[in-house]
Amino acid sequence: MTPKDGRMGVRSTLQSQSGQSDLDETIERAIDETIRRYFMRHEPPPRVYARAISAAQQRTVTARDGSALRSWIVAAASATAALLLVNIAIHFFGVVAARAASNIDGSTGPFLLWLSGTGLARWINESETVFGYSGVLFLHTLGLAMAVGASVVVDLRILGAASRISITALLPVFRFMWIGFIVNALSGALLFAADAPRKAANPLFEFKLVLIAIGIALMAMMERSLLKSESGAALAGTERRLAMLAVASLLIWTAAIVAGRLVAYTL
Amino acid sequence: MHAFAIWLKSTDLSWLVTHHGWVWATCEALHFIGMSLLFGCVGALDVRMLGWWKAPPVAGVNALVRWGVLGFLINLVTGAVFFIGEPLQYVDNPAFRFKMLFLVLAGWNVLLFYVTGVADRIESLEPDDDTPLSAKVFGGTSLFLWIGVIFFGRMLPFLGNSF
Repeated sequence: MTPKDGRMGVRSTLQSQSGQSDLDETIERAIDETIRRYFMRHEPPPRVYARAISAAQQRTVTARDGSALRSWIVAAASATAALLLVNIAIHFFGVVAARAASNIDGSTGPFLLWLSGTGLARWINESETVFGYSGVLFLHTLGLAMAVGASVVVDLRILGAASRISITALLPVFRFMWIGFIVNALSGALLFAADAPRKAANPLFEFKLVLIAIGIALMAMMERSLLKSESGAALAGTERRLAMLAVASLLIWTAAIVAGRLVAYTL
Repeated sequence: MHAFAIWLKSTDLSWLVTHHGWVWATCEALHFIGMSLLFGCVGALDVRMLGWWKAPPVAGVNALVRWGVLGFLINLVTGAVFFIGEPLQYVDNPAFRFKMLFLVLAGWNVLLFYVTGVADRIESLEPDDDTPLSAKVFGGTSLFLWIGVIFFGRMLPFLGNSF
C-alpha cells in the first residue's frame, strides 16, 4: 500500500463513518499534517491518525502555517550564532594555541615520539605524490563534505525544509554520514600520525575531537529516534526532540569545522 | 591576467584581507561550511537520480537544491575574498585553473540538466521510482565534477603555492 492509498483510505473510512461527503476542515488538516509528518513507506498505524484527529478536534481551528517561516528563523538564528562562535573561537583559541606552541617539547611523550618516527608517518610526510599527505588531506575534506553534508540534509529536513521528503525517508542518508565519518576517522588518524607531537600539544585539536564526538552522538540519537518512529513507536514530543537535536547538530558541526580550520592555521 | 592580479594586490581591499588574520580564518571556515551545504544538498539530488537514495520523491529532494545554491553563494563570496587577498598565488596555479574548469563544467552540467528538460521529466517521480538513464548521467557527472572541485581546491597548496 502506498502512502497515497493510505491517505485515500483514511479519508474514505472517515467519510463513511461520519456519513458526510465533506469532511470537517479541521479533520482534513489533521490528516494532511499527519501524512506530512509520518508519511512512511509503510502505512502508519491507525492510532497515529486517530491521535492526530482527536488532537485537531480539541484544538480551535486557527489558520496558521508558520512551520516554513519558523524553519527560516531557526536557520537564520543558527547561522548568526555560528558566526559569533567563529569569531569568539578565533579570538579566544588563537591566543590559547599560540601559548601552547611555545611548550611542545615539554608535552611530547614516548608514544608520540615513536609514532612520528614510524614508517607510516614518514611516508605521509615525505611522499611527493598524491598518495602522500595531499591525498590523505583530500580524503579528509571529502569525508567532511559527506558527513556534514548528509547531516545538514537531515537537519534541514527536520527543521521544515523540503517537507515533501518523509521524515523516515531520511534514514538511508545516515549511511552516507557514517561512510564520511569512517573515511575521516581513518584519514584523520593518518594526519595525526604525521604530525603527532604538535597536534597533541594543540588544545584546539582536543577541542575539535570533543566537538566531533558530540556531533556524531547527536546524529546517532537522531537516527535512533527516526528508527523508532518508522517502527510506529513514536513517542509524544519526538518532533520537538528531533528539532532540538537538529539545531544542536548544525551548531556543533559549524563549531567543529571552525576548530578544524584553526588547527590547520595555528601551529 | 597578471597585470590585473598585480593591480588587485595593490588595492586597499586586498590589504584589508591580508592584514587582519581573522578575515582569512573566518572565510576559510565559511568556505568549508558552504562546501558542506553545497555538497550535501546538491549531492542529495545526485544520489536520488543515481538511484542510491530512492526513498523520497524527486520533487522533495529538489527543494533542497536552493540550500545548495546558498552554499555555492557563500563559497563564491569567500572564494573571491581569498582571490582579492592573494591574487598572485592563484593566477599561475595549475590547481586553481583546474578547479575553475571543473566549476565551469559543473555549471554547464546544471544548465544542460534544466535546458534539456530532464529536470522537468523527473520532477513528478514518486518514492521508489527509478530515474531514466539521462538523469543518472547528469547525477553521476555532477557528483564527479564537484568531487573534482574539492580535489583541486585541496591541491592548491601542493600543485601551486597557495595556502
